[in-house]
Amino acid sequence: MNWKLLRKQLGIIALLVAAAMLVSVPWAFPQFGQTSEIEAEGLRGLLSGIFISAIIGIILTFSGKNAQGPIYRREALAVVGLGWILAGLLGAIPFYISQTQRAPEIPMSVADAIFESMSGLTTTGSSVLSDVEMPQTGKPAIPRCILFWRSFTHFLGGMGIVVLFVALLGHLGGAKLLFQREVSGLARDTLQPRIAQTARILWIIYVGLNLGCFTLLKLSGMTVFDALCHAFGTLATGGFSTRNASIGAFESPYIRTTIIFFMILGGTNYTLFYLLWKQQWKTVLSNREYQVYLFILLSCTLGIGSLLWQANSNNQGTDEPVLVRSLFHVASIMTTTGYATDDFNLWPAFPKAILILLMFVGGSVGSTGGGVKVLRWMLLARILLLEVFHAFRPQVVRPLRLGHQVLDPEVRHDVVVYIAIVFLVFAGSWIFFLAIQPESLWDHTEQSEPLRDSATAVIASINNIGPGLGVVGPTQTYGKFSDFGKIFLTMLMLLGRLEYFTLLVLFYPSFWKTH
Amino acid sequence: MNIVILGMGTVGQSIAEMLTGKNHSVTVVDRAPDICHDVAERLDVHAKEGEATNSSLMFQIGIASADLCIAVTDEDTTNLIACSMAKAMGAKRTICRVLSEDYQEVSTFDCQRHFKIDRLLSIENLTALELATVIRNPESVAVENFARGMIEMQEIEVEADTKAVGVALRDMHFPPGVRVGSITHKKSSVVAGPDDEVEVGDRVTLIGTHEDVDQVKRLFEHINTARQSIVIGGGGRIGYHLARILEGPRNHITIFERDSARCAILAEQLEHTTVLHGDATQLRLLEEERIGQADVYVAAMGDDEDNIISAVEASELGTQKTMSVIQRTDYARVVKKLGIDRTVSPREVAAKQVLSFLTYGPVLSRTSFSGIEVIEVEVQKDSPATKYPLQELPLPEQCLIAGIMRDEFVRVANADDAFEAGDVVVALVQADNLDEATVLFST
Repeated sequence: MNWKLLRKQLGIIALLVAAAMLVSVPWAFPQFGQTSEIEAEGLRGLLSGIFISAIIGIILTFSGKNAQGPIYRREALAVVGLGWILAGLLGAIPFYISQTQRAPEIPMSVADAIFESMSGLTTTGSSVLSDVEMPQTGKPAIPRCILFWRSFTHFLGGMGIVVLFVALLGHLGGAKLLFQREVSGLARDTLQPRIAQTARILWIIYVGLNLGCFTLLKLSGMTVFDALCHAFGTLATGGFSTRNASIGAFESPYIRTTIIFFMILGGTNYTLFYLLWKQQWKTVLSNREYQVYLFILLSCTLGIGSLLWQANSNNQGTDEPVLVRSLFHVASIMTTTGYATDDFNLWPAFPKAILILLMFVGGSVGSTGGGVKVLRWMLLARILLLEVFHAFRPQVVRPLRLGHQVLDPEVRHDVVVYIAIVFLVFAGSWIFFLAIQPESLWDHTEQSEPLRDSATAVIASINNIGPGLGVVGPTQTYGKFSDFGKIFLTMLMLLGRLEYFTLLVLFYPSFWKTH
Repeated sequence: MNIVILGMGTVGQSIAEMLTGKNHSVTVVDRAPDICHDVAERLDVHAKEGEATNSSLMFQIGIASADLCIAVTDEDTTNLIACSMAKAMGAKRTICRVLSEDYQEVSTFDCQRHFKIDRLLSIENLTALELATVIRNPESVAVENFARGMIEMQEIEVEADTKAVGVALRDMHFPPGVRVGSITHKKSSVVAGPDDEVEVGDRVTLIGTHEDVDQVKRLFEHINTARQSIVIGGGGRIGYHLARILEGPRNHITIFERDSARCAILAEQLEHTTVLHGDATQLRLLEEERIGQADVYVAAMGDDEDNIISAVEASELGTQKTMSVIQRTDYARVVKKLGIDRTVSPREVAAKQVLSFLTYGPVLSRTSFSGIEVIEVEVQKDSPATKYPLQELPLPEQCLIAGIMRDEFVRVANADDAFEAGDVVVALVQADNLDEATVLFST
């Protein structure tokens, strides 16, 4: 392991985080020059965050100043894995120092702060905060600058810190290896021969979409602050909101349609946007994965919509059409955003089951969405068909195809291994998570069902969704879990965001050894 | 004719043998001294040892005065370069053998045109085409392919109770891509005119693209449109080309191939073909895969003996029709006795191609077809043909322009088509009027 190089790269990531925190500072001053008491707390947290991150960044960069040699696979994996952990820790500083209250009169613990920060960066959107605004007055319960930082971590993590880092400093050696460790395993086709160029294009598209979403939300009547935060939460498929009731707080149908539209775009393969830009309509329209993505989205919307209509559960105080509600939640869960307008906890069992399965589906490959990804499921289905066929005619040679394109034999193996890991991690974590939670946590009311709730908490974390069912439902928070439980879920989020392998190798002793 | 052959592999040798038999003056070049020695001793040729792409060697053997240069070494790039050089140094015609289908693919780049090669000879593709023709048109008396295989000419017998009987051709409303070429009535052939009618028992030739000809055929005969199951033993180049040509909704194709790496390539390229990893000479495998229920079995492995064995086995198992690729011509007679329905020899296919190419002037190739000559003519600069559209062209009687190939596009000729220098025209003409017709296309 080239430690010097590793320190240098990590130092740059720390500096990047410090720079990102600077963006949140202006929100501490709602009117120029004035600041309220609560904002002052937030400002203090942010400034200390910037200071500590910058110091760590400078120390690391300096200690790795004379770093030599190229980045190999190991260094790339270590930079991305450790870089994300570092960013998550640094991002937690503002939450902790500002003494933000997770529930009335309870300031956030270290674990809370790390949970919130990592949940933002991995675009999960699970929160420990029970009130982001005062329930009655609607006044901020949490400093606006901290709230902005919380949403801004979505923006950073959505396209990826390391992708940003490569986009800005692409001349560094090993940029390609770094890039590939962070981007979804099946979307490693580069748009441009130079990886820095690709990273830059991805970020330009990403920022462009964020701007588009912001503009539409602003025009639909949100304040600049709300519109920005929700644009970040939507396109990064994150899910942090600035309101207690999430998107449910905004009655305007324009806002809801805008959010739905951009959530679906967030779950889209960004290569398709690039191809659209290059006016290659045919390639975009013939993209199999996207067709399936939209098909799942629509069929689940119709399915859930009709089930809700049948159950006549139209009594949640809204007169919104059932199909819109259904589409909103299907898009939100499938793209792994996690926004909610209804408390889907109160839905009948069948539509809830569909939502749980959708949590595993995820967005398209190459999108900001998490989950297993649509393409992997399509390939798995085909691989299983091929294997069944192989059982009775083993001599027949049949390649794995996507449309007319033949895929590498390696993909066959990778997809199966990936999905196996997802389920092993899920099963193991479920049991482990149940074991580490005190029995007293489950209050045995109708809303609490330990098996279901811990399962959905784990699913929502590894797939970067946010809300689950029961005690982690859309109106609930993760604040009630033990500190250890929160840290554990944080690890799961990161595991899911980096598609398992990048993080798992860090736990392999021989990974660190130099022979 | 002065003919130069570059490369003395089996194909080169059989072409040399055939050409010397027809009293042409042949010079051969090969890299291996012992092969040169052997060929010089066996055949009446001038043999020279050296590289096919060596310009001084080419000059020495008189490439400048050669009427035809045939490059048949086992490397595609050598053949292409040698042909291109030969043409530039003065050879009148060149034939270039290619193995890879990349060079025949014209959609992205026309290699033939770029290297100024007169004919790309893909023996495997032509062999496959011949096998495919037999499979596709079991009722047809004869089938020929022109213009790189893109235009097909079929001779079929008019059956009773078909729509075409007793109707003037002009009233039959063919699709634009098809022409009736000739009508043979009681052993005398005429090039068809618009007022002609056909009777039961006549033979007609249809010219056009494969799909259109298949469609028009239904007017003349009753076609069995059942799905055919075709099994190909051996996934070499011939097997691959055959599968590619036959792939379609009417055929279900299975290929047996021993080499697993080759299987992977085949399975990748042939989306609608079942590729089986296994040896087609193994009876157990043939039985397990129910070869007996197949409609056609084609043995297309590299080895004659293997082909014969597997074709005979298939025929024993009950396959309706068995065919085999046979390299050695001396096996052909024996094979008939073994119950194999049809054999195709790649060497003969190559020889036939070369023979049709031994022509002078604008005529590129010439094939006799029941008393009628089918010629491919290249339109020369400032020739009479470039001056009039087709309907005003003073064509001799009994002459039909069937197809025009410009750049890589082939189409069936229309009355208002005009010719340009460099176009290749496929024409049917009565043997007596051949010279009169070719004059129109020469300067």
